Amino acid sequence: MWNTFPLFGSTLLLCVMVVASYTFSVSLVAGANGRPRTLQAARFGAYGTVALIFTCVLCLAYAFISHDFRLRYVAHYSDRSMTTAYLLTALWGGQDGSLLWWLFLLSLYVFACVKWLGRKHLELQPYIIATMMAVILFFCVLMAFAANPFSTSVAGARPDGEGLNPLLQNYWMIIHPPSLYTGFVGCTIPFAFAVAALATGRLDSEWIVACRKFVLFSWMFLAIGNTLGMVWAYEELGWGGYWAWDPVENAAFMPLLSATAFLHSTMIQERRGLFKVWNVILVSLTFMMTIFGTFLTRSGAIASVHSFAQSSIGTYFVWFLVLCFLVVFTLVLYRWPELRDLPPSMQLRKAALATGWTILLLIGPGCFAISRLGISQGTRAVLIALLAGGAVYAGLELVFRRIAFGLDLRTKRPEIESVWSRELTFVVNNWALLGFMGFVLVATTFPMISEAIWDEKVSVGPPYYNVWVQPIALTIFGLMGCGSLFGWKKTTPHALRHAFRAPLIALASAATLMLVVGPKVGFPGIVWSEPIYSGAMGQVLRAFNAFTPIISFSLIAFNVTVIAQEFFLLFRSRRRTGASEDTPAVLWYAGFFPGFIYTLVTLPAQSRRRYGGYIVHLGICCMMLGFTGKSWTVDKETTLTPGQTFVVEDYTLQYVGPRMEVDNTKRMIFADIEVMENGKARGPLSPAKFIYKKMPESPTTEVAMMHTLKNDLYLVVGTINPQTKTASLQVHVNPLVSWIWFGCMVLISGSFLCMWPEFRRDESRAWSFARGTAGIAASIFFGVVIALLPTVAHAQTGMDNMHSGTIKIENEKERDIFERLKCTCGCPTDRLSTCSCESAEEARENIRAKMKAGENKDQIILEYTQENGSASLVVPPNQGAMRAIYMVPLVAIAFGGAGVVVLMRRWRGKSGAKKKGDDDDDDKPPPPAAGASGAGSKKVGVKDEYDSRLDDALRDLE
Amino acid sequence: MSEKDKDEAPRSRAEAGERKAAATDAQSIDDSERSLARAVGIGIPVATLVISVAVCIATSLGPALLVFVAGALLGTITLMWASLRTLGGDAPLPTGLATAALVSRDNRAVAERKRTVLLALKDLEHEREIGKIDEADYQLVSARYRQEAKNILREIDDEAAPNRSRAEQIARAHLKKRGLLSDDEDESIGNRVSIEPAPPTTKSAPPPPMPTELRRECTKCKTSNEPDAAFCKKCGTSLVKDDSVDEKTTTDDIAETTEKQA
Repeated sequence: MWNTFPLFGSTLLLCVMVVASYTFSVSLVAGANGRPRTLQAARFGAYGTVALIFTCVLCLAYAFISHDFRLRYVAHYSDRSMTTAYLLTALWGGQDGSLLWWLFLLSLYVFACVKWLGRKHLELQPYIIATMMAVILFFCVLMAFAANPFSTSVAGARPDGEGLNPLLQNYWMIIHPPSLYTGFVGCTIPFAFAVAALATGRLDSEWIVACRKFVLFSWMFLAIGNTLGMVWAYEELGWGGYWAWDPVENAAFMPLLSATAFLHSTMIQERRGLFKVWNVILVSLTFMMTIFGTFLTRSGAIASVHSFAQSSIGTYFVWFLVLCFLVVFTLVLYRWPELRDLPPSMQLRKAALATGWTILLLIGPGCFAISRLGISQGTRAVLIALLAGGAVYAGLELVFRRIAFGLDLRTKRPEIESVWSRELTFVVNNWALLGFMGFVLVATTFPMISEAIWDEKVSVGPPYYNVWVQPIALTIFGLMGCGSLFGWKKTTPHALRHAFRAPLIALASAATLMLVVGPKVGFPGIVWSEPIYSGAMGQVLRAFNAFTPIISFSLIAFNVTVIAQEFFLLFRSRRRTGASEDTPAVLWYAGFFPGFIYTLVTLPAQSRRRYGGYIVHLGICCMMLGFTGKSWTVDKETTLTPGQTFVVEDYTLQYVGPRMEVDNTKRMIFADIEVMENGKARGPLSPAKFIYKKMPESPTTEVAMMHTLKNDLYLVVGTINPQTKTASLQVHVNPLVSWIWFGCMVLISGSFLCMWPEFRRDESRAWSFARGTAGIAASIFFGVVIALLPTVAHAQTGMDNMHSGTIKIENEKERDIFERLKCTCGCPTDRLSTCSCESAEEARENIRAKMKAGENKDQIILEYTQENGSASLVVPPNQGAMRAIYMVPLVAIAFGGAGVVVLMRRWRGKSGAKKKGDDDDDDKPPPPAAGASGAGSKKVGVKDEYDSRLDDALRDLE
Repeated sequence: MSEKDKDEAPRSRAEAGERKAAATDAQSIDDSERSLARAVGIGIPVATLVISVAVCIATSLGPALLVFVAGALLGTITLMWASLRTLGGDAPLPTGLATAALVSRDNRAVAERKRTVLLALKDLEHEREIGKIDEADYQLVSARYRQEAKNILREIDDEAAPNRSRAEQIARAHLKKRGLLSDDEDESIGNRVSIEPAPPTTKSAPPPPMPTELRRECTKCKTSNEPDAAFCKKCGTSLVKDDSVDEKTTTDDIAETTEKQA
């Protein structure tokens, strides 16, 4: 056996497959026969699967440690000179290993979940385990057949491996992918709960309450992962920004949006029993987005800085997605009566299933057939529209009507008292968040869609997103504040006016302040930029974006005031009811925060989550402030000889000279620069070039930065001439960026507050604190350990030349054109303004020459496009079919909006009718209880034993 | 009863005796297996960890990893073996799980509604406290919800009432057998209980409403307690003056348990 260690590893992988299949089937049987014995067997099976996956990982680790170069993966990602720590890092450095790593993380989640479930939710358990096993099976199949880390190289064992690219050995690169993975993989657990709820028909709030912690945990790690990604891009990529709307960044961002929507809409289901279908869809969507994200990263379907090792495994992901969709689709149809609160009858299930599948089967193959017909674009579109309409008609009218004939289809759904309530704002919030996600989704996949349908290559770059996202994001941001001002159930107009007063005053004064003082301190409220489209469309967008800074800033003021007001109200009411005395006064005197935190932590669970949510909102406000800073960014390029100075904004840079240092692996060339701010010395900055011995042809760029709360000075050195000692520098002044990182920390602490475990009543307070802290600390610790474990999951081959070379941009006019055009060098998303490769330099020189020759912008862009194809445009042209990129999401958002309006009307109709009915019953509303306080929250008059029981139950509630 | 049944009666009694003896044997075997399982569950990971650390110190990381691999494989095999044995019915289930039912009887809909309404009331209270809803509206909406909550509570009581009385009967019979209950209590109870099937839980025959006037109010904190409560559930003040404390609390406990299970 020993001389076939690779075979042993492969066998283990196959064993995982067998064991997972066994557990899968046993848990299904447990679900079917409902016997605890079978369930216990399934639980053991799940633990066994986890242990076996662990064995696999250990085997691969051993292969690395023992330099078993028979394994292709080991030979590719390690060599004999690497230290043990880096050898272990390489364990998940490449694609095959990172899939195993993914599986390993998933198995950790499975372990935690099964352990946590214990004897809770016995009815859901079998299906939860079955779903998790199905996902594990998928990854096993993927590894066994497409990306086996234990596969051997055809040429046999090599004397030494290739080793890790030194470029990848950096800290931020190490920690951001795993924390994203933690978030991504975590989304499987809520999905499993949803499937279990569908399978058993227990669709009330049970599954939602049960999986809340898992959702929060993965949400938090998605947020952390995204932010770390920004930090990485900012600190390492050296182009002066943090978010490039790269497909992979988007892929990580989209599940975050849908998970956010889910977190909000679950609250309505919990309180109202509404939105059951919606929540199931949202959680499935989140899960599918994570799979889709992996597909984007791995398949290379869309060009991206992250795409590495493009391989055939993309197809597996697509089929898995289709399978997931079909399973959820069928289950939802089967559970239609429960989901819509209709009387469950087999007839209705059949009707729903038949309708759904009819529509699906007509549309799916129909579209495929139409796309194969050799007809013009227009006819094809018309045909597809007709087909879709026909299918829906056939499904609803012909099939559903017929089967469901004579059934009572009136729902017994809960009612809404008032449209003006938090419930409505959550609906609007879901609409906006999903609209945003849809927008990003369409834009991300547009190159793929465009090539498939119109056979036209396009690329979608940051300028497109930056322009379009601003209105959408600001709308969501505004809604966030408004939503918090509404109360549950019903908000009286008077109370609403009262609640809006302070925030609106803050909004107005912030806007005024910005207009008056802003320009003087370097933050003007209105900033004009070049339009991305010619014509009216471009002008409208340009006009909106010009006002973005002032709108954004005022909305931040608005939101912060809203949150402050909420906390003020909380503490005032606590003082009134005497609850504030629970907080030891000492804590208040020991600085404000201990008391504040203690109070929040000791709130009842429901309120604690609410105020935790507000703190998360506060974090988002801070991040928003950072994003707003983007409007005032200053980018300059310059070449300095020793002793020369360069002035940018408040900073004066004096170039001292180059300096060289050498260590074991590289030569480091620094450009020493003395920085002065408003005449005061602020110390030296040394941007550098590192030249690794292993790959001298691609030196890396090390950014030097000076952070302040107001702005960051960001220096990149392009080239340093060894003879003349002149250095070419890129200087960026990025205002307010630090607020993003600060905001993320606030956001994390808010999530902690939401996740703080509930205490049982019979525990002593000290013990419950200990337990809570230990629980949180343990989960966070493991999370952070997973996140911090050094990894280089995204081994990028295309990155080598990103850091080298010089970018020379002489004036703003040039920059505008360069921003608009893509580099042809093959570094996927780089524009001429940020790409530092040689071909970009050539193209820039070319354009510069054309500009000198007097050609105008449109001409130059047109010529460049003709030369290099339509994909060299960063923003898809605003003409013909390319308009679909914004039309499709906008139309979808509009339809969603219409849906919200319809829903609102229906609610209003209901609540109106209800109110009328009340008025008929008794003309006067019951008079307010005299001196209603404390236990006097009862209706005056009839008071029976149930009242006191009710009060008890209320007191005992969480 | 048919002839055959009569014949079989003594035999089955004898068998029952044997079975009882076998059951105690099986019980002890089960217990020892459970403790063995616990020992293995802790033993394998700990042993693996200790040995691999020792190997790591003695030699290097490579062999230590191999020890780890062996431990993990052993663990996997143990777990799969446990799974198969459990599936086959040989292994005992963990205590608690054996009696648990995977498919609970369907009164969850009511429980869910109760939870929702209670949450709603809680929300309303909070909104009023922080002043998002004004007093008149609060009274209006809250009254509606309170009414609904009361209806739900009543519904739950109605459903539980037959089980409750039956549980009380069982408890009485049991206490009597133990000699804890005086003989002047109704003789027929014990006999009746053993024969009588569980009363139907459906609402075919509406059970009598709860005797409301019987609920006891605590003399100290005015909390309303169960009619047969011995102590106040909030402050713990004794609510009974006579000596039948023991018996009554026991009955109540059993009744409550039955209610919960229902």
